[in-house]
Amino acid sequence: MALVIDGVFFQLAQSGIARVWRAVIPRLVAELDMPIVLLDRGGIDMELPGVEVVPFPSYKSKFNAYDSALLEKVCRHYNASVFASTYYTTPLHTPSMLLVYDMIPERLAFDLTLRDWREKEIAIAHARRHICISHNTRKDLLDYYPELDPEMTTVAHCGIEPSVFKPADESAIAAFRRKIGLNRSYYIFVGSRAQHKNYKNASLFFDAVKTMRKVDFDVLCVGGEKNVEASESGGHKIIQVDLDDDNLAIAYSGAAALVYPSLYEGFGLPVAEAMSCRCPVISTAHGSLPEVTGTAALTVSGFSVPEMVEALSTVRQDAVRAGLIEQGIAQASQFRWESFSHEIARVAREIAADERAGKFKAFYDKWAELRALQGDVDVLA
Amino acid sequence: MQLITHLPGWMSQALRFCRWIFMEPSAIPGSPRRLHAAHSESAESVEPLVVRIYELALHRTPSLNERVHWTNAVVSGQMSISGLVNAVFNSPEAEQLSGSSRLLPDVPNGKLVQFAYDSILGRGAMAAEIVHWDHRIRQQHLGRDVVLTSLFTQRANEVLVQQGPVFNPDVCDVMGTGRLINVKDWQKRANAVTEPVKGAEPKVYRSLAFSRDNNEILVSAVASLYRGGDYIEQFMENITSQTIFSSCCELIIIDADSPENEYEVISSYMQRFPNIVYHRASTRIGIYEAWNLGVKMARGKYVTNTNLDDLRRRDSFERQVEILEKFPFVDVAYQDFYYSFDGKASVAKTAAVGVKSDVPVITPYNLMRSNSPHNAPMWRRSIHDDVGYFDASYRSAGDYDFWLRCVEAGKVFYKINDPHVVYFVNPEGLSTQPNTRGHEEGKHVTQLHGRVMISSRLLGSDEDFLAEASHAVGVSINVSEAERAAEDWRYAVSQRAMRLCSIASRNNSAAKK
Repeated sequence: MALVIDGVFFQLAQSGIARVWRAVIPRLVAELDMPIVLLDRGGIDMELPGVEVVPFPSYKSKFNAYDSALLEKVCRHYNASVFASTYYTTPLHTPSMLLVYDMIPERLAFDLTLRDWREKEIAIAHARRHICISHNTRKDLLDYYPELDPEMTTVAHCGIEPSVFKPADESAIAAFRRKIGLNRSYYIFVGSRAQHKNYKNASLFFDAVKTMRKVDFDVLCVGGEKNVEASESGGHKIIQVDLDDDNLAIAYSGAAALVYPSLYEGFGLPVAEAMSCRCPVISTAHGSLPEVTGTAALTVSGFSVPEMVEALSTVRQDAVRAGLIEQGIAQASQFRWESFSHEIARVAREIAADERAGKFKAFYDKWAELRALQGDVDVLA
Repeated sequence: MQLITHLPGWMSQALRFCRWIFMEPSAIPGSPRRLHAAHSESAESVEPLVVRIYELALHRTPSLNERVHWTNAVVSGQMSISGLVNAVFNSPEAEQLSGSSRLLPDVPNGKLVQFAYDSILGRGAMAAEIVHWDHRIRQQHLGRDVVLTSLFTQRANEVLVQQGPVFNPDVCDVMGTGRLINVKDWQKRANAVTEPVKGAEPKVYRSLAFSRDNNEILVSAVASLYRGGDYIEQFMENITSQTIFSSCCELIIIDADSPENEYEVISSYMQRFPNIVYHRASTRIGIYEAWNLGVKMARGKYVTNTNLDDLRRRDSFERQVEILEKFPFVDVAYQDFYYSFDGKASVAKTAAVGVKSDVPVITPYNLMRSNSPHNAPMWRRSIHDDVGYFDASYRSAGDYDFWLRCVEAGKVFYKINDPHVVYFVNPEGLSTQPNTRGHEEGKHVTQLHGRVMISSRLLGSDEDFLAEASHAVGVSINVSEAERAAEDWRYAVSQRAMRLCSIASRNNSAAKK
């Protein structure tokens, strides 16, 4: 009777999804009265008291049926009654719960025959319970997987760490500005600025800046690609940095606004984190974003350059800014990892109880047979 | 589509095929508009169609005369495209060809292809090769005889013209990465490493700590020794300085009658380490005979082979033992490893150079392509009870054969991600040079094990596969022609079967509520 978590995502990236699990795992230790085992395929470097961290062979986007067989062996070794992957891996017989982040590949018509997206389908089909990180993700999940029982498909909004994402004091902001080389008003853009189908829509922001005759601000890109867009003739700086959470909070605290013109999100953590640091947000009403922003952001369509230009100016008007900050602080306080972890723990307990009652055996016996069949015809080399 | 339905079935199929394979490859099963429109189009648009029909029907390109003849016939309106297809597909030449493509009609493509590799090339066909040829036979109407001719030509080139792969001792495939590393690039990176070298630190897991305070021998390290004079000192130092060497290991050296008097060095270590066993064979014995001798002498729960010119990080044995101690279901621990082109470079330096493998979870098919666990694995001695010993008739592929036998016997391999060993790319190595015994042995091993390991689910007919998948999921699975056009359609069908299985399970639970 244990919960086995496959930390595969930490091997692949340290982005938002890793942030979610970093926050959740220690809280599950407190919430659950079952042993927790975390499989390290690479990239896990945090101390996790109360969690048994063991190495597991690194993931490749192939040979997946055999990866599943090995995961099952580890689950059996620990007598696991629940399995959770940080991405889309699956064991064979051990029942899984799946945290569903977004349905971006499905919504934006990515090539779903690519192995990783096939594995996502496998993970959704394997899981007996699904926890979506927003109502919008849940709606999309049920659209693409109408066979799922809506009652077993729940929502848990991501949280933020208020002890980290809090307004920084003036001296910390001043020191940060000196270190980075920012000496006037700046906008902040977080995460990747170039992705398949450009759904983060960074170009809208940079196109807007290009059309402005007078640019009296700089741009701070946190994370994402190391190469930044050329500033052309505006005379402004575009700086890229990678920051830890403490410095990210300072960066938010000092910014004119977070610009987040995304056309689809599963949740949108930066929005909540920025608000928690008294940073106004310019965002859209696409995907899950309205759930996160509430009425506390300046909303743009995401398709109009002049509209973005106007928003960049409006957000700096004193009255607007003050209103957004106050509403933002209240909005951000709704998002806490405690309630998120609570839901994960509740679902884990339910699966464990059903597993003990033998509820899943017939399904997983058949499933394991089919996964082996798939392995036998997998020739991806 | 009117045009198509008036034709005999096989020809309609050919015509549909022509359309999407040539005219609109991106629009399967798209509209046939261009086919109809071709009547009024120019020679430029008809001529490529003539070429493609020839390729499909006759497996050759038309001569200039043929091209001009048919193109003119269509452009002038004397003949429709369906008439053209009819004429070419029904020509005596096409009939003769279709006779040869019916070669062994009762044997599924997969089985025939596997047999062809086996008997013509003298090696096992890789799973991907089988699927690739099957795809071409089914989707491109390739005659089976063309497969045989192609493999025969390949073999004749190897043997008669000696146009096999060229062996370059300075270049090495970095396992599991799809990349190559050459000695020059490696050296360049090595020169850029600054002193003092900071090699990668071991990744230690508290959860894997194991007890070693009783006097049980956990590890028997077996070394076959022949002409190892250049490396013996470094080797003895490397093994005896393993963190757990004194507490729970033994080193068994089988001297295969080496003429270089390595014993002088060995004996000095034996004075300091009572856990070194030295055995000298009276005749020159092969490496696998030596390993077998060593394994039979071993007292440890686990065995590892130690090559004289390879290097291990100080904690290498410990990292392997902790996995085998922790997980009783694991039979073989293997790992990623660093590549070195300098037999005298330290582990730390080689780690700093940073050229390392990325070997996969072992599967029967990927093990047939690449001997991923080959470098310094550690295994449970007890697996020899089921799997037997190394086949001493091999000179260089005996371990490969052994790992394949282990996979066939269902033994479990577990990869350690932290690269704690160094593989020295020895220019003298004989295992991969073409037309050498090592190369031939590798081929033989894949031939032998391919016959056992390639699943009937891949070798059997489409119908048998569909019937099995349908039976497993409990509903009949239908696959459209367009779906079957994908090379990996069997994989996709298995995926669909799993989705159906999931759907059925949820309906069941909803019904119970």
